Amino acid sequence: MSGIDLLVKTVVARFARSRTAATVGAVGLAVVIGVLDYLTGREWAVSAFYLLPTCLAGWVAGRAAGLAVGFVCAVVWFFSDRFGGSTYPNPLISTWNAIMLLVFFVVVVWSLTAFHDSHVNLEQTVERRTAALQAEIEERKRLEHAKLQAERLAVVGSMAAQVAHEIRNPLGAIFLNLDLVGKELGVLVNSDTRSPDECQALLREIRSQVWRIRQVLQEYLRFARMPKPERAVLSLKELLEEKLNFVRPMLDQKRVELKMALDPDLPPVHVDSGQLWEAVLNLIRNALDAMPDGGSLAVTTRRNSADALVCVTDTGRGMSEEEVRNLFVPFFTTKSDGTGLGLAYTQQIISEHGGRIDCDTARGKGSTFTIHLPLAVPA
Amino acid sequence: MNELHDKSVLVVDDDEGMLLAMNKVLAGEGCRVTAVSDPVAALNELADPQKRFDLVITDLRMPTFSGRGVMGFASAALPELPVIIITAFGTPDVEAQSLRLGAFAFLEKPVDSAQLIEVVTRALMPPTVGKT
Repeated sequence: MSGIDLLVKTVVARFARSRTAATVGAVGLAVVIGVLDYLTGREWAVSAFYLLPTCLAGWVAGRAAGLAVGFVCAVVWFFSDRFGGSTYPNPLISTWNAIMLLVFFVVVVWSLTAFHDSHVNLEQTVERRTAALQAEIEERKRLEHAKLQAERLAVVGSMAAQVAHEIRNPLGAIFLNLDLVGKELGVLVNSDTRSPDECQALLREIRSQVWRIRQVLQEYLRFARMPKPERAVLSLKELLEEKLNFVRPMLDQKRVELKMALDPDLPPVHVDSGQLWEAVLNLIRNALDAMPDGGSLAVTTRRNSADALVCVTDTGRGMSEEEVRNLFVPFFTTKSDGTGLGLAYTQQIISEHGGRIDCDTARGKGSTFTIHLPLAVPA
Repeated sequence: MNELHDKSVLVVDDDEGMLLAMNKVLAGEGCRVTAVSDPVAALNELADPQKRFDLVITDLRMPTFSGRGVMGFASAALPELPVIIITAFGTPDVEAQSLRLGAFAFLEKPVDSAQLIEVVTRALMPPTVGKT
């Protein structure tokens, strides 16, 4: 690339960045061409050069600027022609030629800017369509991923259900046999005048472990086979007031203070009361696990346009970013004895009700889970 | 002497371990237990005029014949005979359906002996007491 090429490209690029700079530059160029025209006289025709600033302004700064520069070029040409030694038989010929030149510039600028606009429109359309196509590709990828995830979960769910069912039979026999062994041991040890306490303690431990397996199985099955909600129109205040009073003794035992703020004017919701309470209870259990040394638990309801909100706030330890990211992922748990299905099940219930659930948390301060439920009669 | 003494109970379950355990628990409470692992044999027992049962406990999912069939047969032949369903394949729908078809109670395995005895005792109480 030669030095001149580089200079031209640099100048064009600089002008191209600013409409004002391009216009001012074009006017300057017109004046320079005018001076050149004046100095070269009639023998050297340089009129075609006036197209350069006109086209530059029209392309970069738009139609109005192009027409203005075209006008300036016609005026500059007129003066350089008039005072450059022209000897027309009629003095009006210079003016006529300047007007013709102006008409020519107008036609050129008009055509050029029309072409430029269509070029820009085409570019914008291509950009828009490319962006839409990319968004569609992303959306398809996301949906395919979600579908794959759902299929995997369905397989895992049905496998878990099958395994859980199969385990229940031997577990049932173990349960009953444990009771029988306990009874037999009691008789045997009593007759031997030795204390049956240790044997009974061991049996209690085995029994508690079997209970734990049973609980895990039940949670797996509940998640894998969630029944369709049987909905009724009801007041959240009445439902939560009644149910929360039942759990109050458990909260007292764990030194957790319960604060209720249930909006009495909140319109009713259309929900399966049993399932909704299970969802709220899971959030309460989660809150209790986050406050092993006690604290405060607030359950509030309020309206947010067409939704009813149920907020469960604790003053526990809060959660890390990773915990929040995986909060509703099935089988993800940070508890040694957790199944990782509690919150996934809660989310499943709320989704079945056409709602959503989200969480705000701060390390060391606590967390707030908010359930959004559509009102029975939308606003 | 407890309330279950000398009550005649037919237990049907294709899982031998479960069958044996239920047999022992109920026998320990004084019941006369007839334990069968084949549902067809259970129908024969129910159809035998020489035998009179106070209660039937049946598994639901069994080869050849389901517990629902055993319950249907028992309800048709002996309408007053209470039937308890005990299954490892329980769902809320299956439970609702079983109760609708006339089961006295629906138990999901595993159950402990106290729970089993409590439900059996309620099933054998005089009919003035409501069903579960």
